Amino acid sequence: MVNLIIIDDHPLVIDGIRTMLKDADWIKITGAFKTGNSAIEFIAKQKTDIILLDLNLPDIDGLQLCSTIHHQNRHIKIIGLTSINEGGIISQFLQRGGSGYLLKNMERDELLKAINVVLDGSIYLSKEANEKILQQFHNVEDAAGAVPTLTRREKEILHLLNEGFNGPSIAEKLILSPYTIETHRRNLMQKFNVHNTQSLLHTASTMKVI
Amino acid sequence: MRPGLQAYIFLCILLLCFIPIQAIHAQGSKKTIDSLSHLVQTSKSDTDHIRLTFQLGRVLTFSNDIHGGILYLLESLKWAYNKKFFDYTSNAMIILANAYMTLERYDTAFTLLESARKFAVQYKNEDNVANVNGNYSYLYNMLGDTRKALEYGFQAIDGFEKSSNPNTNMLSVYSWIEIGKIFENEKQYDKAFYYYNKSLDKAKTDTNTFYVLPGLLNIGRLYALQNQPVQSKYYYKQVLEKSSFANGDATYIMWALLGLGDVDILNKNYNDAINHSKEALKVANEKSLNVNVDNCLCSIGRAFLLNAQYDSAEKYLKNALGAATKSEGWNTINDSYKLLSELAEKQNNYKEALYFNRLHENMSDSIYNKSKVTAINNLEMLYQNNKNEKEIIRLQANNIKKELQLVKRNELLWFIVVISATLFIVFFIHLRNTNNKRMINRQAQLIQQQKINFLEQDQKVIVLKSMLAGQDRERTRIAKDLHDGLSGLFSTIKMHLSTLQYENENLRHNELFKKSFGLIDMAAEDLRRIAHNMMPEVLQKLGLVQALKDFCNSVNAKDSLEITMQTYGMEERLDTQTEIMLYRIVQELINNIIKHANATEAIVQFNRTEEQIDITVEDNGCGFDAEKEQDSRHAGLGIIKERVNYLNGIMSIDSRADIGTTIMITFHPGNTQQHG
Repeated sequence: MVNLIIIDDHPLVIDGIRTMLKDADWIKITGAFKTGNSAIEFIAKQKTDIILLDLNLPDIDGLQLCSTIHHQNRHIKIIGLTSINEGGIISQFLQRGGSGYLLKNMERDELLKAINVVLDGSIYLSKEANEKILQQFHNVEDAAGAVPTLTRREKEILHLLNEGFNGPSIAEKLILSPYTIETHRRNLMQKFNVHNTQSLLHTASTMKVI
Repeated sequence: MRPGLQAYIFLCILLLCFIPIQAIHAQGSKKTIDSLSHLVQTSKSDTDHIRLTFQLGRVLTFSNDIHGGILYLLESLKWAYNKKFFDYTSNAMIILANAYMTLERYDTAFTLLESARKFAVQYKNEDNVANVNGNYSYLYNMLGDTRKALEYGFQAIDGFEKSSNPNTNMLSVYSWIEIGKIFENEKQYDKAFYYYNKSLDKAKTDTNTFYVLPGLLNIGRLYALQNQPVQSKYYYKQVLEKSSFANGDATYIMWALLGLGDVDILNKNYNDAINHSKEALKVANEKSLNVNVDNCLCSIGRAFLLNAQYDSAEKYLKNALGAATKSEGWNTINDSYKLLSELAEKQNNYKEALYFNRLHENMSDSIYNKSKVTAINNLEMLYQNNKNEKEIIRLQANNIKKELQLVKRNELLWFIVVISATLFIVFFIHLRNTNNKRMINRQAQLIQQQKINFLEQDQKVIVLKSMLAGQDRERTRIAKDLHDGLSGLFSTIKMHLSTLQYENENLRHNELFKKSFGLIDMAAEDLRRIAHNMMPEVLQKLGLVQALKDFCNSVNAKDSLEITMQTYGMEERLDTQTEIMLYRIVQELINNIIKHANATEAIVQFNRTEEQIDITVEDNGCGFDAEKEQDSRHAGLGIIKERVNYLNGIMSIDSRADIGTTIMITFHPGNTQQHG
């Protein structure tokens, strides 16, 4: 027998899940909670195997609650059951100890499958969540330490700095205000993680940007 | 004419509210005056004597015995100064200035306020400094110097807000009204409305209901001025509901009743108008609000006239004329002339109609000229006063010494010395500067106009800012409602249907059931998309950087554009309002690129250092002319500019044909929260 609890502040949803699970006689719904705190109290006292967790709760943020429960009871499997389908949220949820992610429009079979999969120790993601996670592999952000991508102005200014021009003369040449040039120069140093123009030029040439 | 007149007289009353909340609540009570007089005569200690004469003077001033009040206040001032109770010294000076303002002796009031300010500053009485500023605001407004009036009004509010004395703290209620009034006089009703509401907001922070009265009353009148009787009536009724006759809110009750009369006239319910005005008259008589009796009489007369009851109209209008002549209510006299002329015309008595109309015109001219001349003279005086501030302060210091010595012997003499000293100074300066005067005056006016324009611009920005912030708040709320409510409902329906299908084999092959099943999915998906566009959950839960990454990821997956996102120094989250603004800005910029730029690559870059954040969005598209073009790309830029303005940021556009566009936005995150 598997002990399952539902955390969702929407009473109808709780009702819907109960209906879906009523014929699965190997699952026992031991509790349903509208707030995170009442669920935490319950888990401390009663044996719980699996949690269906909504990420929007009135008292605690769902992601926060996921890490809290995961740190206290590592054997409890947590399935996110929510209407949010956003890549950042899904990967955060998994990083914080969640085992599965389902959207609330799932069907009965999928819910049961997800419960089975996570109880076996695997991760279950719904089709939509999977797509979002895949999008993330197509990552927009450069890996740390890689050569930063420069904007046109930055390239221009870096080259002029390399040719020995100083801020004011670059400003004059590009018809920009010295303040703007200074901003670009500062951003460049931040991107190459250096603190003066000398090491900026050095690092940039090592990386073969100039 | 009527609303203007009301505004004018109401201002006087409001002004009187500046110090003495308690005094208003003792207003007009003969008992209070008698018992105070008795106490003054029997008081033994100096402190008691000063306190009691001060109270008595104050109460008398508010009971329309201004001259009597002035005598006691001077007495109190003399004692306070001699015994070195400097808080009372500046208090008494402020109330005296109030009294002189009611008598339209602005020059004397100005001198007194200046001295009160000096004492308050010297003895670190911040409450009184704020009080003086509040009075200055009123004074400058009376003299037509809107800019100064606004400046002092806001200073007063700052001061009141800082005060730890709860009574003084609540005085900003009246200063907000004052500022609203300035805009109302300029016919900028939406701004006036905004500031009256500020007053209401402040008033609601206190348990005493009488603080809301000025806000309610003024908003009521503002609606009537704009021909919106329903709203106006609501607010006037609120005044009657929240006020208490016994506790001295009689003045507010009276004005609310007169206001309801005005609303009735807008609605053409003349009988009701008569009744309301008569009730107002009853209040004015009962609480001996002598200055206002003529207003009530005039209102009743007007209502009778509109109701075609000419005999009664004549009776009340002539009574109004009599009362106004006695109390020197020039505006009421003028109104009465005009109404009497209309009345005679209705009765086909053209000779009399012509006679009253001529009187009305003469009176209008003289009121106009009088106020114009006073205003010009006073403006000039104030201008010179500022210019020679140092000299005048020195002279005034001497004056005050002399004056106060004279007070010991003779209050009347003291008064004359102040006036003549002031007049002498003005005359002296006037004489010296005759040649430059006109030119300087014109320049001063020009500068003033410019500053008003500047203030208006500032105002516009504030309105825009609150609009943007409000829009985002509303979106967040709707998204939350959709998530919490509808979304849950759809999910539940889907769950029930799914269970039903499991239990009932036949349903799986039922076309209609399958179709409904699919439609629910579509509806839920639409809902999720709408809520997400309104306010992405990830923005609230994980912040700007993650939200923008998600956004760029989805663009990269869907569109032919490849976005690279780089963030430096953005580990800490910004405040919610700023994050939402930045999200929308970048989202809008990227959408613009997708729609118009025909680009294949784009860079989104955030650089945060201690004091500033730079955002760069660059594409390799076709570029556009940031200066000239009026194309759709500019329409998109408009809303972005507004958002950048909200952040007090700077946006620069660097676009080159067939090379691409770089947009850079710079702002200081510490600077953005004042309206957020």
